[in-house]
Parts: sequence; structure tokens; C-alpha cells
Amino acid sequence: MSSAPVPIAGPPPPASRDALRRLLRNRAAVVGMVVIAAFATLALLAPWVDRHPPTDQHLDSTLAGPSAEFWLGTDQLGRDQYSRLVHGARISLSVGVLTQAVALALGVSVGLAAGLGGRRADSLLMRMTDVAYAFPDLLMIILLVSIFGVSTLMLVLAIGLVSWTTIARLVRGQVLALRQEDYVLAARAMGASTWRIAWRHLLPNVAGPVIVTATFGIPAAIFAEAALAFVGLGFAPPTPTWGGLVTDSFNTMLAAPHLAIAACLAVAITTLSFTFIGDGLRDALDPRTPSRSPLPDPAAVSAQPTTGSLQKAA
Amino acid sequence: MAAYVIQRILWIGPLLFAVALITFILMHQVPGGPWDRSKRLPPEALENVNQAYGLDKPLWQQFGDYALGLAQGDLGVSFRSSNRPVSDVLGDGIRVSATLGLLALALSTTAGVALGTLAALRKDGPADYASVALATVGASVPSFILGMLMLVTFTAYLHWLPSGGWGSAKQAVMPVLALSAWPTAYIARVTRASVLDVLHREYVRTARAKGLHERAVVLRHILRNALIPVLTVLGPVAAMLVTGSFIIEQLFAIPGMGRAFVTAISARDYGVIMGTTLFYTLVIILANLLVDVLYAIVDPRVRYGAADATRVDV
Amino acid sequence: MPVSLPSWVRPSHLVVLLIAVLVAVACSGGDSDGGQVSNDLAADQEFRLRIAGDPSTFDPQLASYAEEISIAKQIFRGLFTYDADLNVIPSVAITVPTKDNGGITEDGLTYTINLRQDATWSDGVPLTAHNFVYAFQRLFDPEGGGQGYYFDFYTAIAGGEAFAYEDGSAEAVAVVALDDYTLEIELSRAQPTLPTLLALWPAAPLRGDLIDQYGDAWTEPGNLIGNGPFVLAEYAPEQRIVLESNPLYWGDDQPTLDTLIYKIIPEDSAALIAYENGELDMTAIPLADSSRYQGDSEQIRYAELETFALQYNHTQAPFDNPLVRQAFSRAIDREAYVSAIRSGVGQAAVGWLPPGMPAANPGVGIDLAFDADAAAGLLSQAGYTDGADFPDVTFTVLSDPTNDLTAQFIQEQLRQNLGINIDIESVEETVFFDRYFETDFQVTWLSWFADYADPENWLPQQFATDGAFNVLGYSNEDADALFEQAAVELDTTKRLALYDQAHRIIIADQAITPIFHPERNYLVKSHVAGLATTALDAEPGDWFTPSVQILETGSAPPASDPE
Repeated sequence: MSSAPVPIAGPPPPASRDALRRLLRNRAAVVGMVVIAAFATLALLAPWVDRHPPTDQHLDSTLAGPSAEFWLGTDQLGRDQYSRLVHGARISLSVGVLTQAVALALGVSVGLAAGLGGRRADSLLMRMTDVAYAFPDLLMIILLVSIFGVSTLMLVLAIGLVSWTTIARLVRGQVLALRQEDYVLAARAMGASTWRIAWRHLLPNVAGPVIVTATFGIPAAIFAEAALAFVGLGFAPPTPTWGGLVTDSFNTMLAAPHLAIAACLAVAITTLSFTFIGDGLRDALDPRTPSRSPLPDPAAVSAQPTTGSLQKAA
Repeated sequence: MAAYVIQRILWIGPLLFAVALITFILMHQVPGGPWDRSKRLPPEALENVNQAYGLDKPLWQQFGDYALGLAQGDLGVSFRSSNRPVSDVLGDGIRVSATLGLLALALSTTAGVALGTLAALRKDGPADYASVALATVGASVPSFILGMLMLVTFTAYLHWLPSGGWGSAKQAVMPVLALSAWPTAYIARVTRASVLDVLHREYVRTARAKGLHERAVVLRHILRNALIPVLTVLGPVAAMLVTGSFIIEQLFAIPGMGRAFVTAISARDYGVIMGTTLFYTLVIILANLLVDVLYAIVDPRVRYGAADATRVDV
Repeated sequence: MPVSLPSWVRPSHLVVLLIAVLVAVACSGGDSDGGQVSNDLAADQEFRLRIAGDPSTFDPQLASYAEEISIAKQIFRGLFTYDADLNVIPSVAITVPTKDNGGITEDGLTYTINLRQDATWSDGVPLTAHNFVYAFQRLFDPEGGGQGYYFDFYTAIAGGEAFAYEDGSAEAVAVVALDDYTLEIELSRAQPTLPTLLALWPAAPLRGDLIDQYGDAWTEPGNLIGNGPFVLAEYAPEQRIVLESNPLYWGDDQPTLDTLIYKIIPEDSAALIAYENGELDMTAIPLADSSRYQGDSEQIRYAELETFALQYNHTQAPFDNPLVRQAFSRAIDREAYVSAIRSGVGQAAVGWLPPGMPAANPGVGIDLAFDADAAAGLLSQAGYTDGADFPDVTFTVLSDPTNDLTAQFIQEQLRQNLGINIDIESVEETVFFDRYFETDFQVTWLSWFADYADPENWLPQQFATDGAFNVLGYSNEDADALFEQAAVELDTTKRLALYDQAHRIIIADQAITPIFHPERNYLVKSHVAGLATTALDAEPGDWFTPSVQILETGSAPPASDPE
């Protein structure tokens, strides 16, 4: 499988201050960032902002509706849904973000190596990427988690391992395109080493699309955790995670729909916010936006089915 | 172009082989075997079944046998369903999942394009908000919660639709809707962005300036151009839909591929795991190929040469 | 996508919308859709039930999951069956053999059984003693019934154990046809429960000619010939199983039903919705919904012979110490478990033998019932005052929503009442049993369900030092001696007294810690009559399906039929 062609990005590294200003002018992106920041803060401060310890059982009020005592009601063991959501955000948000960090590290390294290495290295790495891309995501994650057990680290590695291929292709495509650009040729003529060129000239230029791809990947990872919980490969109880809470709320959907609403809203709002941020970033990082090719970002095209197959396979 | 496509098709064989090998190895590393049920087989019987299915041989030999059979089109037998051939199990599942998937594809394409276009033409108006909000709910609420919501509404409460099963038009309504939610939202997003982009193009302004009827402008000039990127995302979306969704099939008691796959994983039904994985892989590869070819067709800047099957110059 | 998206989504609107829909819809739960039920039989005698998973077999010798057993019971009939009080009564046999009627020899080792001459298979072929001979030879065959769950029950039959486990042969299995309608069974050791065992599905007769002819395909519709009240008419994998009444059925219990449909619906909640929509006549009430249906006119609730217990690995610290096990038993508030987690459906358990089981005794285990102070005292005696220095313990459960809830409840009880923190490990079924049989766990949670109502099925296999099911590593010489005596004691009263003694020893030792006896909790439509449940059902009423009738209802069923 070859990489999809990639539209050429601008010559010199985009001025990041301009990008930031453009990002901040985007209302949706700002809302997204504020929401994520708020959720992240809640998650960080979970032990202080929760109403009850998340594992405390109130057996006299199981499946209770929202009240002053339990803001979002209680689950089958009488645990406070609000507190469990706040604590659950810790694992779910970190899985989402760390997974993309792994995907970034892997994808950028492979992409750079393929783009800058010789033809042989390129061919080998891209064939490897093809295999990883063709492998059904959910199967790979299930197999890895079944072999090595469920933990934040394992989940991050497993999901990261199926999410890097798009980034690798993106980086490679950009590198192949950019290395013919004047400023790269000039740097090379001045005797800059390959890695210096990569670091100083190529990386800043591919950073934009890569970060956008990674941003869209975060909700996919959060969904992947939910998918695993649904097939019985979630975190060991009583650890609250969003995936686990959504799955649990599925069983109590008829008896206590408010639990499902709360859990799903948390996931939905987060997903939405990351989508806003991703959109905003893409626009901000590409100053020539309005006149650009009408083709959607190929990264988005090939990244979405991954998101989808994870979400839908769930 | 033809040479490129042929080379890509030839590359499918080795790709499938690599995926088969990796799956085979990982699958056998997962603890537990097909005979680990709530009662242990006596040693004599265990020896018998292992012999009958060749599970007593060393792993490499088992893989050799499998690959040999595969080359002749023999996918082996299912351990779980009283020796049904894997091709039967898969055949049944694929028929159901593909029907469901194609219905969902038709619906999500129609609805997605309509919503996206409407949103773009009435940008920032109530129609924009409404259509995009609708699509967003679809994208960010997990499909099983959507499915459950519909079950409660249309079956338990209104008695309009049957709860599940497969075989009649009424039974298909809710699963198709639930399955379409995410791709509808995605296609709507792509369409909206693409139409907005085309709106600023010169030929549209010219057409309008010439006093052409608005409907003609929309159909002839805007949609025709704006749909090109939508076309390219349909490949991956189709792949995702056609391979079946475990959760939708589980919820609506549909005998599809996704359910067969997850059941096989938990029962360690090795033959079915391999068969489904290879089928999924093939669909992903073909969809990807389709995208690249469509890309080349719609965007003249992209040219593929046979020598560049794995290396694309842009 | 080159255009910045406006803030077109108002999350607040979505919240309001979602809540409105859900609330509107949730209020509708549990509404009854039945019209007036008359006493007349409906024209359509069709009974629709739900099963959760696809049966992997219809072979009565391989059936192991409840749905497989339940279906096998309808298609096959053995020598004996049960009456409503679970007494063994003749089915294909003419009488139940006893020493008094000369059917059992004085040493209890030889059974002579006369068969009805009017019994036939569903294809009209006469049913003879040779069909039983074939079936019992296949039952122990490592390539046949020896791969099943239940052949172990019958290893008292001479030659059976050798064939299944060693180098025996089919011919050496001591079940012979003296003539076409007389069967002789010889045992290698006395087995007082043999008549009960012969009433169960694995002891059904089989058609050797068809199994030879069709191979693995002999259980497919059309090929599968049984001798029970129903025949297999349709099998759509992962969708449904349809049984139809057998017109050639020879028994006295002629079915009223024409059709029996098992619909495969994996999700519990979806099944409940299907029931509410009139697509099912019977379904289980999911745990989360049971309080909503408490006291509903369509609810049926009855005890079954099943006990859930904590099971310990006796070969390792800390559970090699009986004081620790006793402390656990006294630390768990079973009443709170039943009322909070099980919505009051079921009974707290301190003994292992469930009420209704012969030799069950409600007094056993009372002295180790919940008492937090006593629990702390026992733990302190064991050397772990207030849980200090208690080793790391992992509680391994089979991954399932109910088991996960239970595990978390017990974890919290132990934390509150003993001051110890245990970890939970929730693993999928395959891995769970792989590890369970290797005793690769510290403490786990599993139930034992009675296949027949006798403590022989509940004590020796699990708790005898050399018991076939003794995975816990439990060993007690006194209990072993009692088991040996009981196994061959032909006097029922004495035999049960021996088991009662053994039961007391095991509970005093806390070999396992019983927590809970579950109950069946189902919804059955009011137009279903004659459903006769027993404590040994695989699915409610499945020993007496022929007595089920569908009554005429006044109003039409809801409109959303699949057709």
C-alpha cells in the first residue's frame, strides 16, 4: 500500500505566533480547549473535587436518581456517579493523550526514517507500515491486551501501536515533497547533515498536519477503551474509567437511564471538544486555508476509518 | 496507472500472508485454548480433539498446514459450532453484515451529503446549527447507546418496530440507523467543508454573476465539484460498514460477521479468528486501494507509476 | 477542511433533548400489554422463549450449557424421567427397578430394565434396547460422549471409566440388550442414585445407524431423529431454533404446543424489550431491572438448587489457614448482598447444600454467619490484627457484570469489616477455567448448580481428597471416610446422614464460604398456562414442556411483529 499523496505545505516554517492567534480567533476551538482544560483540571483535582470516594458503596441507595447528595445519581452499588466520572477522567484522558504520544513518536520516527533513508529503508519501512495499516485494529488491541493484561501502560502501547501508521505516511509524504524545496536544497548545499535538516527544516513543517491527526486520534483512543470494556477486557473493578462507566450504564439503561446520560455526555463532550480543537488547529496551522485544494486532508480521510472501526466495532 | 494498480494488487498476497502470520502467532500466545470450558476434558479425549484438529503439532507446522490450506481456499473448520466449515460461518456472517453495511452506506451518504450541503448553503443559520448538531450527536454518542435509545423508544414504548433479529425490512430499520449515525456525521462534515470551499471559487461566482438559477448553480457547479472529496472518503467508510459492527449485531441479535468474530475470539475458535481477520484485512486493503485510485482520477496532480508502487512523488 | 467551524453546537440543547427523550421513554417501562386472557386454547400453540447464546450442539451427550440441555430434553427421552415432585418415574422403561420388584440385584450391582414396546423414534423406527446399548458405548467413547460434560456421572457402569480414561473398549461397557426390549446394566460399584442419573439427558438412547451415516452432521435438522415430544424443525445459527411437536411421540405426556421457538438474543436488556413488545412469552429479568418488576403479575420467582460461594486455594497462605477462611465468612454481610445487589431475589447462604436438596440443613454454618466483631477476632487469632501484614490477595472472577458487582461488594465488605484490601481480577471465561482447573488463583467466586437432587453431586467430587472436581486442594480425613461410606450406602436415610456429617465438617473448615442461593426470576405472559417449574430446570418448566398451553387473549398482540 502506498501512502496517499500529500498536498505541499508552505515553504518556511509557519510562524507559530500567527497560528496561535488564528487558533484563538476560532470560537469553536476555544470552547473545545476550555472544556478540555476544565475536564483535565477536574481529573487532576479528582480527590478534592469529588463528592464521595469513588469506590464508597451506599447500599441503601442503589440506582438512585440525581439528588443534592449524589449529583448524577448512584450506580448498582450505590456509588456516586459524579465522583466516578471525575476519577474516570484520569484514566480515560491520559489513555487518550498518551496513546497519541506513542503514535506520534512511532509515526514520526518511521516516517522520517523512510523519507530520509535510502530507497531500501523506505521500501522496508513502508511495507511494514502497510501490514500494520491493514491489520484490523480492534483485533490487534484485543490480542495484545489478552496476552499482556489490562493496565494503563498496556492500553496506551496497544492502542498506540495501531494508531501510528497514518502519521508515518503523512510525515514521509511531506518529507519526500519538502526535500526538493529550495530552502532544503540550500541547507543541504551549505553542508547541513540529514538529521539537522530533518530537525530544523522538515519537522516544523510536518508538525501541523501531524498534530492535527493526533488530536483527532485522542477521541478514537477514548472510544477504544470503551470498546475493550464492552468486550470484557476493561480495567479491573473497582477502578472507574469512562469506558467502564459507559459499559456499566448500558446494563442499567432501562432501570436508571440518567447513569447512561451522564457517562455518554462526558464522552461526547470530550470527543466534540477534541474535534473542535483539531479543526481549529488545522485551519490555524495552514495560513492559505481558503484557497487550498478542495480535497480533504488525506490524513483525515485515512485516519477516520480507524476511528470508526474502533468506535463501531465496539 | 494500470501498471500501478496491478502492482498494488500483486502486493495483496504478501500482505495477507504477513497479517496471517502475525495473527496466528499472537492468537496462540493468548492464554486459554478452545477446550477450556467449565469442565476439563479427560486426557484421552483431549488428546483426541487435539489430534483431530492438528493442535498437537508444533506451531510452525500448524501455520504451514494452515497456509497450505489457505492457498487452496480451505479455511478449516470451526471448533465451536460442531465442525461447520469456517467458510460457512463467514459466508453467513458476511452476507448479513454486508447487507446491513450497504444499507447504512446508502443512508449515510444520502443523509450526510444533504445535511452537509444544507449546512454550508445556510452557513451560521438555524439549518446549519440543526443539521450539524444532529450529525454531531451521531458522531459522539456511542452506537450502542443510540441503539438502546431507539429500542426503548420504538419497540418498548411505541411498539412500532421489532426488537431485533434479521430477515425483514422492519428488523433492519434500527440497526441501519444506529450504524449510520457516525458515517453520516463524518460525511456531513466533509461535505460541508468542501461545499464551503467551492462556494468561494471563481466559477461559482461567475455562474452566479451570470444570473444562473440558484438550483442550477448548486447542482451543476457546487455539488459536482464539492462531492469529489466525499467520494474519496466513501472507500474507508464502506470498509468500516461492510465488515460489521459487533455491538450493533449483539444488541439487535443480528447473526453477522462482527458477532461471529468476537464470539470466536472468546471461544479461541482459531479457524474463525483467522478467517475473519483475513477477510477484514482484505476489505481494508481494497478500500485503501480504491481511495488511492479515486484520488488519482479526481486530482490530476497525482500520478502513479509502476515503479512507484511504494513510493509516490508528489 | 479549510473552513473554521462556528460554535454551532449548544451542548445544553443536546442535554435537554437527551434527557427529555430518555425520561419520557423510561417512564413507560414495565407496562403490561396483555388483553383479557380466556380459558380457551389459542389457535396458535406457539411458545416463544429467549436463549442468550447459540447452542454449539444438540447432541445430548455433549450438551453442557443450559440452552443446550434444555433443547436436548425436549428432543430425547431416556429410560426414566421425573414427576412434578422430582421422583423418578418410568419413561421408555416400564417400571423403575428396585430390589423389591427384582429390577436390582441384592448387591446393588445389576439392573434389569424392561422397555415399552410401543416407543418409536420420530421417523417411525421402533425404539429398542440396542439403541441404549449403542448410546452408553458412545457415552464413554473419547471420540464421542467422552468429550462431553456429563459422562463422568455414569462411570459406575462397569467398563465405562476404563473406556473414557484408559484403554478400555466400547464392547467392555457393561450395558447389554438381553433381547430387543430388555436392558441389563452392570455396575462396578454400587450407585444408589443410578435411576436418577438415568432420567437425565446424557442417558438418552441414540440412533447409531444415523450417526454412522451422517457423521458430525447427524444433529442437523432433518438428520436429527429423537424420541422425545418435540423434533428439531429449524436451526438458524445465531438466530433461532424451532422445535415442533413429534406426531409419533409415544409417551403419556402428549404436548399441547405445536411449536417451541428459542430466539437467540444476546443482550439481556434487548430481551426484556422484546418481551415487553410481545415477541417473547418468557424471559429472565435482568439484575438491574429486578426491583422494577418485583411483584409484577407476570413475574415468576422460584428457588433452584444452586449455591454461590467463595472458593479458596488451600495450598497457599493465607487461605491454608482455616481461621482466615472463617474470618472471611463472618466478615461478609450476606443479607446486605441479597437486598442491595440482588434486589432481594435469592437467599443468603451459610451452608453449601441449598434448601430443597436432600441432607440440606439450615442449621449448618449458622455459627459462622456474618458478625463483624467475631470476624475481626478470628483474623486477629490468625495473626493479622486489624488486617495488618495481611498478604496481597487477588480475587479472581469470571468477567461478567454480575460477578464484577459481587466482587466489588465483597472487596468492600472485607475492607470495612476486616481492614484488608484485596485486588479484583476479572478474566474472560476461557482463561478463567484454564486457570481454575490449574488452581491458579487465591480466592475465586463460582456457583455449583445441581444436575440432580442428591448431595453426591455436591460433596465428594469437590471435597474428597481425590475428588474429580477437587481443584481447591482441600483435604480432610474425616470427610474422606464419610464420603467412602456414603458412596456405597444403599440405605437412603443413612446415606444422607453421612453426607450431613460431611457437610458440617466442610463448613466448619470453611473449605468454601457459601454466600448466596439464587432464585429464578422470570417474566411469563399471562396467556401461558401449565408452566410447571422445578428446582432442576435448565430453562423454566423444561422438564414438563408438554404441559404448557397457550390461552386465547382478548386483544391482538402488539403490532411490531418481525413479519
